[in-house]
Amino acid sequence: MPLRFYQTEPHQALVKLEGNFDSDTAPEIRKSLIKIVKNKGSESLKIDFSEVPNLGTAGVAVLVEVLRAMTRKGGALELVGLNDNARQMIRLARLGEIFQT
Amino acid sequence: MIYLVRKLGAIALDLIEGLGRMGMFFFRVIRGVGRPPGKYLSTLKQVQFIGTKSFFVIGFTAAFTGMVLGLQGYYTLSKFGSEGLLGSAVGLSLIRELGPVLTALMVTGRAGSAMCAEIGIMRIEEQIDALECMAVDPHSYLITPKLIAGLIALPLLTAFCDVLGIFGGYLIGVQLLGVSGGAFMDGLTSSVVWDDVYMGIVKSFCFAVLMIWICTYKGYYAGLDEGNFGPEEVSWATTQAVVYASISILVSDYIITSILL
Amino acid sequence: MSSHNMIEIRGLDSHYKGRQVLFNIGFAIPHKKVTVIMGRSGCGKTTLLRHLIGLKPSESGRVFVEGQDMGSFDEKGMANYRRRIGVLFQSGALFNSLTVSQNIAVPLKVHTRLSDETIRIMSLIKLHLVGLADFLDYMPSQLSGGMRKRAGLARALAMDPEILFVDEPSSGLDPITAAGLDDLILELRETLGMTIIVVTHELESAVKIADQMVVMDRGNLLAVGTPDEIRSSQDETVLRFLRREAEEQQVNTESYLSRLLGRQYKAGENSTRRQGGVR
Repeated sequence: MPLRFYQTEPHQALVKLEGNFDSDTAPEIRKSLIKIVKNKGSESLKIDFSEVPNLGTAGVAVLVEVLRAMTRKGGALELVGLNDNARQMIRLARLGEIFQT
Repeated sequence: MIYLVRKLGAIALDLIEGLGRMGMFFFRVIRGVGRPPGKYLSTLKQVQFIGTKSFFVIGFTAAFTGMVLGLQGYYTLSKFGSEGLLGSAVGLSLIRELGPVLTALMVTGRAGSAMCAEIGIMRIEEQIDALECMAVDPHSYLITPKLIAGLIALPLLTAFCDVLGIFGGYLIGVQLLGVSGGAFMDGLTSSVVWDDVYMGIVKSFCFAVLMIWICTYKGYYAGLDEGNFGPEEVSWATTQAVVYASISILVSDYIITSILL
Repeated sequence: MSSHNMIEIRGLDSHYKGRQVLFNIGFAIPHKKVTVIMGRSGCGKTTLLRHLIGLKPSESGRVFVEGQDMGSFDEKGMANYRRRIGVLFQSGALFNSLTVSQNIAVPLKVHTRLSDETIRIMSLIKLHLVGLADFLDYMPSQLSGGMRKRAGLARALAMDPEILFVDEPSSGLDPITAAGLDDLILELRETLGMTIIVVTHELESAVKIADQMVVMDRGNLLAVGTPDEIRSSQDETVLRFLRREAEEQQVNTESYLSRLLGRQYKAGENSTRRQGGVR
């Protein structure tokens, strides 16, 4: 699962995901994302979903973990480029407000 | 007359089919050893289940059997004036024969029946179907941990049974009937050789496989022959499981003894 | 074969202990639609469901999944198919020895390498969906029948299935919970485009959720169509079914009398004796 990390600004990081984010790929993405949150002192993390065709519940659960880690550090998490499927998945988990989709 | 022949044929066919199914069942359980998910925790739970269910019963049985052996042995041996052999008589009969058999029978009665009922209930409540529909192999998920646990627990319980039985014999022979303690222990240590212990261990492993195999098989196929899936089928399967497991333990005991002697 | 059909059934017969319970069933289950299989109890609809989820083997060339013959699936093919489906059994079929959240975690633990924390959050998401988020650590025996069924639904949804099979969703539920379950089924189809197959005898809920209805009677297919088509059907048996009229008992007087009077009779002996065992 390709995952690209950009430090766009001093306090702003962007992660671009490519490929499905489901129960098969979630373990690796989780590892990378948690590492990014831990190592970088970024105050805000942006995750780009424009290259993610499919978001599964496992992906949503990982996002919840990342969000929790970010809030603990006082940072913010923003999801951009969500397609319809991903949006529906997040809404079905009743997390639409939390992720502002 | 034709009816009789037909009936006989049907019974024979059923028997062969049942044996084949049992074989397949066992094969799938063995195959499940290497399959996910990890079985450490579930196996450990089963060891605890078998152990705690049977520990006290086996302790009791072993102690009293040892004590009876002490009494009877003393009575018999004193006729030949060889009370000193009591230690070896008690030790040999427990380690070679009674320890493994009694333990296996007790575990069958306590844990084997419970296992059969547990699996049987899962069958009638569609839980096994549910596992299959999740693409989880029920053999590997449910039965394999029980088999491994049986292979761990039964030899240990047998050892426990042997020790307690010998202690019971010692108690009666030495403390009550006045056989010399030195002679008892000396007879025990000199006459029990590795071959005897080995036979006991082989037996307990075989009994573990037989017991778990028969009890889980009966539970797994509870009601499938009758075509009904009600509580009666589970109780019927449990009864059958205990009876068949006990019989096969006794029969195989004879076979193993005759091979290893 | 049309690519819009998820599952296609052709000429399916089924026998149970020497008695035929399904007669020449044939219809297609379309992609991303709700198909409701209806009929009164004992009509063979649950048997049909068991064929569709591969619990009851059918002859080759009878059931096709996306054009592939289910009869030719080997163990691996069947496992692959089953990873794509979720099944809610009539009783919920929760594992007694595990808590509700552990129940949901079973397929995830076996099939994925997800961390325990991720799995916990996923179970919570699914349980919240069925309205049981507060019952994460309850044992199945502590739940009511309806709650067990909803927990079973949460477990069926654990792996984000493409196809969801539901056996009698509303039986044993109070009307409000049952309606909630119907809404959830519709939402799943709407949002995730799930293909959903529901087996039920409740006419109201069937009409509410169905895109396609399949009406069965005594192992025979009576009608297939949209709820409107079914309702405007002219078929006598279908109409009677919709009006919930009791079927006229076809009493075989002769056999009845001979049974009463102890004379030997042959016809129908087997079927009457074995009626208890149909699943």
